[in-house]
Amino acid sequence: MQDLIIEATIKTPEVRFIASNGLLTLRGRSIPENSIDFFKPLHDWIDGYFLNPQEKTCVEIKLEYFNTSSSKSMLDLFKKMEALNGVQTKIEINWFYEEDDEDMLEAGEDYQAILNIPVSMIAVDEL
Amino acid sequence: MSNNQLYDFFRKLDQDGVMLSYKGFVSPELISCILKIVEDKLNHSEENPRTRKKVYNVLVESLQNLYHHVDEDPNAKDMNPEESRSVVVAIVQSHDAYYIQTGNFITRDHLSALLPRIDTLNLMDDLQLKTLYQERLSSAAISEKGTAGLGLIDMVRKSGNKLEYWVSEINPDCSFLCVQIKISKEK
Repeated sequence: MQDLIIEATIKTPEVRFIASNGLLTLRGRSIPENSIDFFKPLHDWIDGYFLNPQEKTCVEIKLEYFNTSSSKSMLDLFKKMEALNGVQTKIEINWFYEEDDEDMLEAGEDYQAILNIPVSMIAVDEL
Repeated sequence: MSNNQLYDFFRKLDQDGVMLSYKGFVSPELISCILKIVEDKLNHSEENPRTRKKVYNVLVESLQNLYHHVDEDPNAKDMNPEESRSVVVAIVQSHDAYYIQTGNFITRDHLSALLPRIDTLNLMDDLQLKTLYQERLSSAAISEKGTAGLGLIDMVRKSGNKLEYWVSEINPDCSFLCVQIKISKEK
């Protein structure tokens, strides 16, 4: 299966979804006016990947900013993964945030509260 | 505006702490420009990265709210569609806070749906806002426009302050709504 690589723009994050090691990374800013268009290929890729996933799938979220439209699209993506968790692959989400960024920590905690996938909060000096 | 008036305008913007003001149509490109200008100015003027991030976050939601929800100027019959959806935006700073101010035309129906929502959010504490956000995030469907009814909650939650608003009625069917969000400067 092909990897999904999308370069960052001023309003959308860098995407690195690597099929061969099950590492799925979003990095940068996700603030498009309408997040549906941007997230569509991510959903499509996940559908394909889960036909034959790695034993472990690790999602790394390293976002500096994201808007509420993206927060909903991201949840939909996580929900899709949640439905498949434990079937053929074990999924974990690593939520990175800058140490002083309480809002980003809280945003990660929102997903922790909603999802039945383990979400680990990881503080770093700089994303 | 004559040259003299322009100087007065400059002094007034300066005295009022206006970082940016804009009147016109809101497009995704315009939003990118405003965000870039404000981010650059904040990088110079604001030392606290948390405050910078909060202003940026609230500004994103505020501008995208305008972009998705602005109604037409009732006096706009002869204007082109872009002009008829003009808004006003200002980002202002005082010694202890930043203010994001927006003004836009809004129909009576939209206004009577919006104001009770703002009033309800303004009465909520941090925990209630967090719970409401999580409920709405997990239950609401995303619209075709990419909205999920989370913007206002997010703005109140991140700013930590109430949304203030003023309504000027233009005619029985349309008003001009001004909204102000305060983001306190952290030490």
